[in-house]
Amino acid sequence: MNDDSINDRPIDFSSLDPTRDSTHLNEIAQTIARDAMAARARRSPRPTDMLSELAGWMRPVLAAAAIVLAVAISTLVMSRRPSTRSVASATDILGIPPELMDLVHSTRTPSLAQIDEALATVGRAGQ
Amino acid sequence: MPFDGMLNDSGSTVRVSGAIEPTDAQLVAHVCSGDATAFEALVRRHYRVAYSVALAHTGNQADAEDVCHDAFVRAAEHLEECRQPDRFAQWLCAIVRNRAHNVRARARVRRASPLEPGTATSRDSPARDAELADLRGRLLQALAQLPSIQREVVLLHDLHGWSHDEIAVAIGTTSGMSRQHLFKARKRLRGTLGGHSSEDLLHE
Repeated sequence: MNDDSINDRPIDFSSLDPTRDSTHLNEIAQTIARDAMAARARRSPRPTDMLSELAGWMRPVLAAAAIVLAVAISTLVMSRRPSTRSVASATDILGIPPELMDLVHSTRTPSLAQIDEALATVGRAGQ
Repeated sequence: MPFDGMLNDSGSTVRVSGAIEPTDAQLVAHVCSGDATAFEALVRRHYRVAYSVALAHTGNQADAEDVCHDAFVRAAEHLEECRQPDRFAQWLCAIVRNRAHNVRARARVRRASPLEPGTATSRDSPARDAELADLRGRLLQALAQLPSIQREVVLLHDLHGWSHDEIAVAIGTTSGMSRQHLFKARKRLRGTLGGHSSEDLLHE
């Protein structure tokens, strides 16, 4: 028999065949299948009902609401803080002296001297 | 549904002992819907091919069994990513090869001695067990002399029984190259085994 024809014959590896013992193969198959299905179960997402779905949304929504509330409150507090500057009255802006306004608001009829005095203050203020 | 067939790994439906065996694609679909017995059937059907690849790359039976276990579990975890379920065996072989390389890399770090004969016992007599263990040891030592590609081809062909076309798809080569690898592997194995076949060794 020549070299080529010898090497056409398969090598007998049956002693290495892991399936030759069917009982052993069954044990292996069951063990692997059990571990494999457990691994699949760990990987797949757990089924969720409506409540757990809402609970899942709850935390981020609450966190976002808290941030919005904090920003809104601080903005409100800043905008309502009273101004430290005094508000100028219309008479101050127009340059009318208080003596003249006193005469206007008075119920009594002013004398000529009082009117003259008030107008004099306007003249002094204008200089 | 009984999934006890282990003869068909080509993905086609065959009739074994009067029962129609489901295809790999059908079994994969069953597993995806949570059927553990379908995965058990896939393991029975493809354990030998997985083991052949694992043994070719690890060189010892204990590591090959561990690699097969890890590879099947990993395949189950990523089963939805198997784009061609009718080619489950080829997809599984790629996973086995990858896991085996990891094991070899770890073994190199540990500097473990490769190609230790397996310690698996059978239900035969102790004398027969001893003969088989001796034969396994000689075969593994002879296989260790081959390049990994030749080991894989000769184990897939002579241990598992795949055709050159199936081997070519699994290892990413041509049918012709598979034939060449097989020829060289057998020649070197026979040379290492002293011109005897493993049957001759067993009956010496």
